[in-house]
Amino acid sequence: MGLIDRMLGTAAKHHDSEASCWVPPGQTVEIAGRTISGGLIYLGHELQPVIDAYWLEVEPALIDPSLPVAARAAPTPDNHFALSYLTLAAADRAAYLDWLAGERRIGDAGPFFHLYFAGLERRLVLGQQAAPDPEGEWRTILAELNRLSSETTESERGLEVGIARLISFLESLVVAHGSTAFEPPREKVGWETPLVLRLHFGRLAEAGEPLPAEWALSWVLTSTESYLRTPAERCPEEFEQLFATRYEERFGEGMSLPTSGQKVQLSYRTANHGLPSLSESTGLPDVVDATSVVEPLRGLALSCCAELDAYSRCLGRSPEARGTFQAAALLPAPLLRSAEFPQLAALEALLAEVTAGEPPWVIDAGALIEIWAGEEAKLAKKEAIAMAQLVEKLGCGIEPDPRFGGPAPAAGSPAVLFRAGSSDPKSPSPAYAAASLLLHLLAAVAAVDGSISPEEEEHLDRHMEEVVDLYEGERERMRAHTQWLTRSKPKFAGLRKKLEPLDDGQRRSIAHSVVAIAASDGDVPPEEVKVLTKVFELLGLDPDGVYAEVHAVTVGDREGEPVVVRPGGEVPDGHAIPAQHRGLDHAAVEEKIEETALVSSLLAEIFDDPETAPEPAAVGAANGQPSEVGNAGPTGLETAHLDFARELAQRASWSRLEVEALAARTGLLVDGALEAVNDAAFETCDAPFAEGEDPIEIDAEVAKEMLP
Amino acid sequence: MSPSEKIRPRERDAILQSLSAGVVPRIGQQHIQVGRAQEVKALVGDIERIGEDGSAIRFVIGEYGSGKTFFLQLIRSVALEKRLVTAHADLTPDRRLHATGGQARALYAELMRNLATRSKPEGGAMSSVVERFVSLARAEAERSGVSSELMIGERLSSLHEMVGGYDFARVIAAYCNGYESGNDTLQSDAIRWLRGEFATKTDARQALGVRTIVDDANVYDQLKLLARFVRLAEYGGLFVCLDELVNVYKLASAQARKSNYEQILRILNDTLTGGDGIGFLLGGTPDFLMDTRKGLYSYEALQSRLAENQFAREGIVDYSGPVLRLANLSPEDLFVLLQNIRNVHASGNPDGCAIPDEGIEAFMTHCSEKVGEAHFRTPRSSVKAFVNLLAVVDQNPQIEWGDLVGEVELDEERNPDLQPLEPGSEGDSDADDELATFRI
Repeated sequence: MGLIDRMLGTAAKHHDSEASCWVPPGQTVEIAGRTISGGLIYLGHELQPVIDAYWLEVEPALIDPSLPVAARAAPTPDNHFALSYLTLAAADRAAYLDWLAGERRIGDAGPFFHLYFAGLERRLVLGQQAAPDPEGEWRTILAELNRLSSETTESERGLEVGIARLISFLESLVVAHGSTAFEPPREKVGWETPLVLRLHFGRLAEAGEPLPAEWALSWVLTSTESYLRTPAERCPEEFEQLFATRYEERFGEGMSLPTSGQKVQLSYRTANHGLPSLSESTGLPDVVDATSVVEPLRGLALSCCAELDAYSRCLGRSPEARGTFQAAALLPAPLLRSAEFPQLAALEALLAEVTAGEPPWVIDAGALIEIWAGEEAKLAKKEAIAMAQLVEKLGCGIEPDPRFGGPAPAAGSPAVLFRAGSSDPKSPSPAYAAASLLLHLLAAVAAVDGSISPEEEEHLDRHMEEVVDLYEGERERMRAHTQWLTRSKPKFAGLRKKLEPLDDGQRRSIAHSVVAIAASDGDVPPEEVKVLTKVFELLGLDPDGVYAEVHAVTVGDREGEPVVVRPGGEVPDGHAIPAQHRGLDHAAVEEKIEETALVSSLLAEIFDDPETAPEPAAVGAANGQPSEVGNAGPTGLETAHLDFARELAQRASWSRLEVEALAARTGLLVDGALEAVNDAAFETCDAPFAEGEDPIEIDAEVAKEMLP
Repeated sequence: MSPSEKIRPRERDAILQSLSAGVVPRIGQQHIQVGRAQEVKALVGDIERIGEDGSAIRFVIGEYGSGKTFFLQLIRSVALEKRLVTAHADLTPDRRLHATGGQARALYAELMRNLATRSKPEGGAMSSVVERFVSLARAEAERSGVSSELMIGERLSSLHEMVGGYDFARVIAAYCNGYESGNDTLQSDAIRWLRGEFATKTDARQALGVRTIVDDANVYDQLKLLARFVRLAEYGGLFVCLDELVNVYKLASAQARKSNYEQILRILNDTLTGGDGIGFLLGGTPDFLMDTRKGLYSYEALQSRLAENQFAREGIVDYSGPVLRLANLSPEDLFVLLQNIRNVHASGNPDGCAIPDEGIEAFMTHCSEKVGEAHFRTPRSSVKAFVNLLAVVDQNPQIEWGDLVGEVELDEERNPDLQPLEPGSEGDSDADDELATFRI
C-alpha cells in the first residue's frame, strides 16, 4: 500500500535488516529456552531505529537473543515503564519473553506491553515495503490490535486509548487514499475526534453535499465538542432514533457544511520512540470543529437529551422499568408511536371515541386511570402529571391537570378532554393562573348556596371568555377547566373553615387581587360587583369595602392619595372631547397579574383537595420525627442535613441517582443538600465533604472530623 | 506557599494534569502561585467589597504568556473561598458581550455552564445555587409555619424591581413547583432557561409560561439578576471573569467593536458608581487596552476612565485603579514556580521531592539554551516539560535526573494572536455582519 512511506521518506535504508529481523505470525522461534510461536516481534542482533538520534542506537522493540535472560521472571517487574528491550534487567527480560510465549493477555503484560506495541507500530510503518504480502500482514496486525483492545479492562483505559488511536490513524490512512467503504464511527476514541470523521466531513464539504443523518449522529457520538449528557448514554437506542427524527425534521436531506478552513491533517504521535511522529496533510477542509457545524449539531443533540431526560431519569431510578408502559409513556412523541403497548392502543381508542362526539368531552376520570395504572382508584400528583403528559402526546389535554394547579384526577369524578397540540403550554402563564384563581372564587361564591345555577354557570363562562392576555392554547384549557369546575361539584362547604387561619392582611390582599383581576378587563359591571360583595363576605371582610376597593383599582390604585381632577396650570380653552374608551394598558394588566402571584399560591393551597394535598414541605420531618429547625448541631447543619451527611458517610462513593434517592427520602433537594453539607465541611475542615458529579465521592477524613 | 502545607490528591492530580496539557488548572492555583502579592491583595479587597454588597471591576492587562489566565483563575478561586459564586468564560468570535446574532447569549450560556461555587469549583453549579435558595426558603417557611411556595414568592419579590425580574422569579418558582410535584421536565426546563439555553421565546412560553428568554439584548441584566439571586441564596455575590478580551479588539467591524466597548462602559459605570454584589475581572493584552485605533482607548469615554494615574510610572504602581498590569515572569519567579510545582508533585512533602534545587537550575539553563529568553516570557512549554520530567524521574527511580534534563524537548511556543487569520473565520463573518445591515 505504501501509505506511510511518503511520510517517512527514509524507510529504504532499513530494508535489509527489517526483513531479516521480523518474525511473521506463525513462525516459531526459541529464545532463552522459551518457545515463542505467535510471531509479530523483532528478533536479531542489529536493527536501527528509524530516527537518527545519538542517544538511541538500537530499535527499542528488538529482542537481541545475545542479551542475558534470567531463568525466572521476578515476581513483580522492576520497571514501571519499559523503554527498550536493551535496557531491561535480566529478570524483566524473562518476564517479557514468558509473556510472549504465553497467551499475550494485555492484563498480564504490565510494563512490557509498551515494547510489544512498539514492535507492532514499527512493522506497520516499515513493513509496507519489506513484507511479501503487505496487505495480509496489515490485516493480521490490525486483528492483533483489535484483540488486545477487546481484552482491556477499566484499569487499562490508557492502553485502550493508545491502541484505538493507532487503529483510527490506520483507518484514516486507508480512507484518505480513496477507500469509501467504511462505517461512520460511533465510539469516542480517547480525547480526539476520529480522523475518519474529519476526512468524511471534508469530502462532503468539498463536494458540496449535505451531511447525512448517520454522519451527523456519528459526529454527536464521537466529537469532543458535542457535550453529550447522561440520557444519550443511558438510553442510546432511543437517543439515536430521536436524533435521526429531529435531524430530518430540521435539515431535511441534511445540513450543508462550510467549505473553507484549515486542511485535515492526519497525524499520529508514535509510542515507539525510535520512530518519528507521522503526519500528512490532505487537501480536504477540516470542518468538524467549525462553529457552523458545532453549534447546530450540539444544540440538536442537547435538545434531544432534554427530551429524553424524564425517561432516562426514570430508568436510572429503576432500571427494571425499561419496557414498561409507564416508562415508555415518558418517551417523546415520535418514539412513543413506535412502541407497542395494549394500554397505548386502548388509550388512543378511548380518546378517539370520546372526541368523536360534540364537545364538551366529559368522561369519568376512572376510565383513564384504569388504562394508566390498572385498578388504582387514585393517582399521586406525580403520576397524574405523567398521565397528562402522555395524553398530551396523543393530541389531547386533560382538566384537571396538576401542572396547571388542579388536583389529580380520581375515579368517580369527571375529567374534561380538549384538543391540545404539542406546542401548547406545559406550565401556566401568570394570566392563566390569575384567571383560574378568580374562576375558583367565583365558583365558590356561586356554590355557597349549595349548587351552581345555570345563570351562574353562564356567568362563569362569560367571565372566562373575557379573560385577556391568555397564550395560544390556554383558552381551550380554560374552557375545559370551567367545564370541569362546574361539573365536579366542588366541595366548598369547608371553604370558610379553610379561610379561618388567614390573618387580616392576607384576607385583604386576596380581596384586593380578586378585585384587580375582575377589573383587569377595564370594567366592573354591577353583576360583578354583586359577586365581589359575596367574595368579601366569604373572606369575612366588610362587604361595603368592595366599593372603595373597586374605585381604587379603577382609578389607578393610588392608595389614599387624592384623585387628580384636573392637572394644574392654565385652564385650556373650551372642552376636551372625552375619550371614547379607555384602551387596555397591557403593562398595567401584567403588573396587576403579577401582584396576584403570591395570593394565588396562597389560595391554591386552600383550594387543594385535602386528600391530594402534598405533604407539608417538611424539612427533616420525613423520618416521622419532628424536625429541630433552629436547633442546629455542632457543625451548623440542621437535622435533616446531618442525617443526610451521616448516611452518605457510610460509603466512599455513590452514584448520583443513589444520592438523589437518599435526598428524597430525607425530604431534601439533592444539590442544595450537598451544597449545604459541603459548606459546613469547608467551615470545619476547610475541605469539601463530597466531590464529583457522578459518582459522588465522600472524603472519609472530612466525614470523620465533621461527624464525630 | 509553605512546603508543609497539605495538598489534597484531587488538587494535586488536577494541577499536574492541567499543567502537563499546557492549560491553567481550575483548582488549587494557590499552591503554585508566585509573587504578585500586591495585585492579589488588591483583588482580595475587591472580593471583600463585593461580599459586602459592593461591586468591582478590574482589567488585568499582560502580554501573551504573562499569566493572565492563571491570575484570573487564581482570583476566581479566592472568590470561591470567600463564598462568592463565580462564572468565567473566554471571549471568542462567537462569544461576545454585545451582538445581534446570538453571540452574546452564547457568552452567557458559557458563563452559566462554568458557574461555580466553593463546593463545585469546576462548574455546573446552577442547580446547586437554585436548590440552596429553595432549601433555605423551605427551612424558613417551616420555622414560620407558612407554605414554602409562599415563602419562596416572598423572598423572590425583591427581584421584581429589576429588569426581567418577574420572569426570573417565575422560573425559580417553576423549579420548586417541578420538585414538589415530581415534574422532572419542568425542573430541567427551568435550569435550561436560567442557563440561557432557550433559543426562542415560543419555546420558553410553552415550557415555563414566561414571556422572555435570555437573549443578546439582556445578558448584562440577567447577570445582575443572578447576582441578586445568589445573595438571596446566601452566597456573597457574583464574580464574573472574562478572558481573551483581545477577541473584541480583533473584531473586523468597527461598529461591532464599538457596541462591545459600549457594553463594557455600561458595566464599568454601573460597578464604579453603585454596588449590587457583582464583580468583573477582564483579561486582555496591552494592545487590546491601549490601541487608540481599535482598542479600548479608541472609545473616548473608556479612555478617560481607564487612563492610568499619572504619578504611577517607573516602578511606582497604583493598585487602586481599574487597570492592573501584570509583568512577565522573571527567571527568579520561574525558579520559585518550578519549586512550587515540584512541591505539588510531592504532595507537599519536602522529603518526597524528585529533583533538588540544582536540578531545577540545570533544567532552566537547558531551556534557555534551547529556546532562549522566550522561555521566561512564556513559561507554558517549560512548565509542561518540567511536569513531564518530574513524572519520568518519579516513575524511574533508577534514572538520575541529570541524565534526563539534557534530553528535554520543548514545544515551540507561538502567540496565537500573531497567527494569520484563517479565511472563513472571525474576520469574514464580521464583514458579513456589516453587509447584513445594508441588506434590503
